[in-house]
Amino acid sequence: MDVEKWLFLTMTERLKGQRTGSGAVYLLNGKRSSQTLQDASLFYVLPLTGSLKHRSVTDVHGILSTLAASGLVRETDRGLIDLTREGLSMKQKLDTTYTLPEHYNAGRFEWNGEADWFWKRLSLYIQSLSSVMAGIKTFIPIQYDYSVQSWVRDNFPSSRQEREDAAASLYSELSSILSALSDEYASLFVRRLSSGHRAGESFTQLAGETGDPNFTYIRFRSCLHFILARLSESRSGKKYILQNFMKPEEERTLMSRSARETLDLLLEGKTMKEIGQIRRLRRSTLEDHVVEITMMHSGFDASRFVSSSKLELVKNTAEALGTNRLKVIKDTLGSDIDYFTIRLALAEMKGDPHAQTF
Amino acid sequence: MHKPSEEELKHLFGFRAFRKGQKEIIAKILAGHDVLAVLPTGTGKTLCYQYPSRILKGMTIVVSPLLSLMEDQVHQLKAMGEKGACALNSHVSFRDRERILASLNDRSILFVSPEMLQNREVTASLSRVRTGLFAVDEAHCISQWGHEFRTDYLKLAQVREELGNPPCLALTATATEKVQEDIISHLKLERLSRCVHSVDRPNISLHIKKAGTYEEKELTLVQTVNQLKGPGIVYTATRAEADLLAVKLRHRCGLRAASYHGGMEKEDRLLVQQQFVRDETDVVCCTNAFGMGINKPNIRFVVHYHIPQSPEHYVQETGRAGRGGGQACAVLVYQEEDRHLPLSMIVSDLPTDDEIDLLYSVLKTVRPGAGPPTADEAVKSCVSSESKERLLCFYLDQEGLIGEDGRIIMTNAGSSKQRLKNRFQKRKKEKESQFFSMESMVKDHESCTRELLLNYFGEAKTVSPVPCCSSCGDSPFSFQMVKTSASEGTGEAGTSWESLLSRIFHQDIGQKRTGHH
Repeated sequence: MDVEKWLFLTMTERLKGQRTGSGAVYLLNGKRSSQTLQDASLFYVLPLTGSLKHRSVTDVHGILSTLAASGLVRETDRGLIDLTREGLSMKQKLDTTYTLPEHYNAGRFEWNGEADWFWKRLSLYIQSLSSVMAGIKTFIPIQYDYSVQSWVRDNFPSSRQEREDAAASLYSELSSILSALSDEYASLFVRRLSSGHRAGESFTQLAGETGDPNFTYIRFRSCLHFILARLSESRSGKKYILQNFMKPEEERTLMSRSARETLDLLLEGKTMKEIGQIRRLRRSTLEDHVVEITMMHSGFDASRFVSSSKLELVKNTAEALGTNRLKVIKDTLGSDIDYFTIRLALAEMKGDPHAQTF
Repeated sequence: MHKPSEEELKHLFGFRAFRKGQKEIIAKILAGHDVLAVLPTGTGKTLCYQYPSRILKGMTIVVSPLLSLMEDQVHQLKAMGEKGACALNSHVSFRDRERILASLNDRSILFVSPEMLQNREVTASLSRVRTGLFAVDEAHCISQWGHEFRTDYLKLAQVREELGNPPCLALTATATEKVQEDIISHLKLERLSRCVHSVDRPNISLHIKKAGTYEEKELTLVQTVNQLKGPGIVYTATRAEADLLAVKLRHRCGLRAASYHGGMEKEDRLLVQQQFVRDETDVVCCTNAFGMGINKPNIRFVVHYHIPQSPEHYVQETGRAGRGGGQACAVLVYQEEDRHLPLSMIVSDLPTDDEIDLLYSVLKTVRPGAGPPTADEAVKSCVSSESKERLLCFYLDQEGLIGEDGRIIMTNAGSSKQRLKNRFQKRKKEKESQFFSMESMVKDHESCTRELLLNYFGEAKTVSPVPCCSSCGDSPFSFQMVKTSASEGTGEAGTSWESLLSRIFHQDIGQKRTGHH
């Protein structure tokens, strides 16, 4: 039973039998949609969201099938999933082996691709710098992505002096940040790096004789999350060379481009109807956008679309019923309240934790 | 007419001499011939198109079936200074594709997947640039007698025509006579020069051992590895076994062993590949996903921990040893029950009768208002593997069941269902018979293994190297192979992360300058 199954069991438990198997798959795989955005916050699963982003949707579905086949997860007629009794005890047993590393936060750093962006550029830059300084002129790059290679080429120091300065700065910054981690975690990060002297180690190698390579992957990513959190904190204060390797802020949003365009028009004071005409979009699509925007921007005022009293009513009902299932809330409230109002209210209840304010 | 020469070779690539077969192939290409080249694994196929690409007017296109291999080849060529090397496949984003297509010139060596050449926009862009050479790597994929038939290869002749019929170089490491004929006719090779070299690699001795129990099998592996140290490759049948054996070898032989298989992340796979090439890992335990893109001259042994699917697989995988010309050995250790896995894999790669029945019932379903289903959708809903999907789509098309819009035309069905079933039955039999040939070779402890292998490929044994094979009485340990001290320990184990980090950035104590901030 490996860590990926544990992640799936944990996700299933948190969803409290209120979401489908695909819902769980999308969350773990980090699909960008207003539904997953909302679910991540509603069910407090943000740290897990996007933790299996490096796998394909098919792979993650495969985990579900395996768990279902071995009777640990069951699917109701309506497709909602829940842990079976065996599933629950298996999960509890695994809880003694696995726990998310302290600094791990997939919802913040994996979901929007920030960790991936940072690692690919940094690792190739370091490999190149270390090799060139060792007098090695040609080498096979450790990252094959064209965009990563051209980024490194464009940002690579051209003179010997600049290269030596860059190496000294990166060394001192990484030493100081990694010192705040345990030696075990700092080692994972450093041994993964490729240089002029040696290629980095695979997760199987880093895991050692008894470890689980997939769990080692999670632990390694938590080092990246820790570094990125450090660099973000001091964005305004201390300047790090490492900050240059971060994904530009404007590309970090989880909001879809289309919702972003809707937001721009809303901020210009356009009504939903006008935006629908300008962008030739259906009302339901715009409603999705508004829900998404409400999730992402805690300062966004949803009462310009629906009266505050209705929103309050939905919030109170959801709390009283102890559920986030739209259908259940809708059945209780009757025809007066539409689905858009319910989704908006729920979005307000649980804003996105890395929401920006205006 | 331009003729290849040693001086030019030295000047262009820094090599002093051609390897077997290379000069002749290059000369024929430069003379404008179509060439079918059968060159054993590990004898330098790349130079056969790389050299002409420098001389001929127009770009060089290399059709290659495996995406990861393509990327390895491009990066190796780039590291050799071949700036025009680039790849076009389904992993390349639309933006990058546009960029690559816009930048093609005479110095380009474009690796492209056969699927990509089915894209009209791609071929249209390509035909705007002159093509000097159309090379087809792993050309045996064009034949259904070959061990890895790829339907998309059958459409290459047409693509070549659209590109103005440039000279064609068909490359393969293993092709029986039947496969060679298929390559020639399907690629429409004319003014043909055949350069067929023996699949024999005299510097690789072949050893086969039967194990009664798994423990015995493991013992043989450990002995072999202990004796030969490395660098070496151990081919296993499953991913889990690859991981397991790597741990065992680290433990029991004190070697730097790593595992490699398709279930690993891409970056992980690259790391292990690079460690091996840089002699930082002694032994790689892997599935047959490993080895294609590896350019390593000093591999001293290849162990098979199972019976390979076919003699073609065996020759290709053992051929990774001894590329630099040094003595190397191939050791195959098997158990009786090892036959089940390859046989079940043959079955799972091909559509079954049941799946075809299911497919035809789906094809007949006309949803109200939606018309007949598209071939892609229908096929996807019936089978679970990509190779089955490709095969079914291809043959439905051949049977005339797919219309211009990709939808099914059932009126053309006729007796196609039975023909499809027969076809896959036949294909299954062929693959099984390839495996049985391999199996009987393995079980024949009397006849010379090398001779049996050569006979399979329609050749006779002409040289009798010493050591030759286990049937000839040679053991992998009977001759003195110079032990390299490959295993000097991991060197890095136990080193603190701080000192590792300072080595990476060349901040070794004593050299550290002050005044930095």
